[in-house]
Amino acid sequence: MRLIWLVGFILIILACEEAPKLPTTLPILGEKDIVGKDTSYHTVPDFIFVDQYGDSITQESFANKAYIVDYFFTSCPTICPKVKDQEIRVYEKFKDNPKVSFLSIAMDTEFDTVERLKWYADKLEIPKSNWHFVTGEEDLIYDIAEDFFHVAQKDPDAPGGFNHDGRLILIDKEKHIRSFCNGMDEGDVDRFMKDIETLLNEK
Amino acid sequence: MKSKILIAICVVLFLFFSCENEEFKQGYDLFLTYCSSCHLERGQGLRGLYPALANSDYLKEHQADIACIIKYGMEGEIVVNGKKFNQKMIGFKDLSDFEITNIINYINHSWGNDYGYVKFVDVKESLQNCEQVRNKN
Repeated sequence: MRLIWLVGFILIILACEEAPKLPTTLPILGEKDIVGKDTSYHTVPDFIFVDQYGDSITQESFANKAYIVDYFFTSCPTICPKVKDQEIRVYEKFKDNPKVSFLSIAMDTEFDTVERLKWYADKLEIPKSNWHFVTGEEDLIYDIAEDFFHVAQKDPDAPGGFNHDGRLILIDKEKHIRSFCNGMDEGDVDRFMKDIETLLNEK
Repeated sequence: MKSKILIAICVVLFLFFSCENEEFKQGYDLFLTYCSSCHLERGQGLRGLYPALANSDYLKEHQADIACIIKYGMEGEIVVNGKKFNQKMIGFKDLSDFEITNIINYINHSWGNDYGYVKFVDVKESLQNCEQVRNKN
């Protein structure tokens, strides 16, 4: 009988030790180059887009901010509405935070004009805020997609291919990719929101 | 004896509820495949972009047109629950009359909707007259 108590006691102690610890920092994702003592991490290059109000959006627009990136197109009948539904959840949580912005890049450069993007943002009831729906040069949009999605491609657990798979990607103020999630998976988006908070609390 | 009765009641209840869930099984599966991308899983729609199917006055009042809308899609502005929508809906011409009947019965009885049963023969007939619905819209 005493043995049972002892075993139970040990199990409780082990269970306590197993409790997951919340990470206090996020990893820097993507390939890294190590030259001597210096490690250079994958960095999102400069870009220039135009948002739904006709304003230019560059890396400078996100100076000292973390931002969340996704690819979409306004007439998308497949996964975009679901991703947008989840992204709105993230937006509602962080819309008043001056350290966070949102960048939704439209892949359909012909159809998704500035006017169309304005219409779309209005329909989603997103006021002029920290959420930019952008268009731009087609080559740039597809080139930079590789930079944003680079990390996902390298992730052995992720399903293959990066073209428009509904991911939300978190970029930090140093232009490094720090986290991503499947924008159609509510649970994964919950975890992503915790990652955003972890990033914001990093020193 | 008492426990046997209890078990019997549990089994009956279990069968009853599991049958209830199975009632619109095909409609539910088809809904997930063809409709939920835009109208979302609980039929709640997406803000001003895609109208809701749950508690939708448009769905309730346009029961006769729903089969044609699913099959051939629709364009132009509509008002749902007082809100204007104008996003083109694509049609699903590959769906059979039977499958469309099952989808309608699923959405008519989900998320608090109680818009009645549609019969296969009625859906089949209305699908033969879609031109009229399209002209009306």
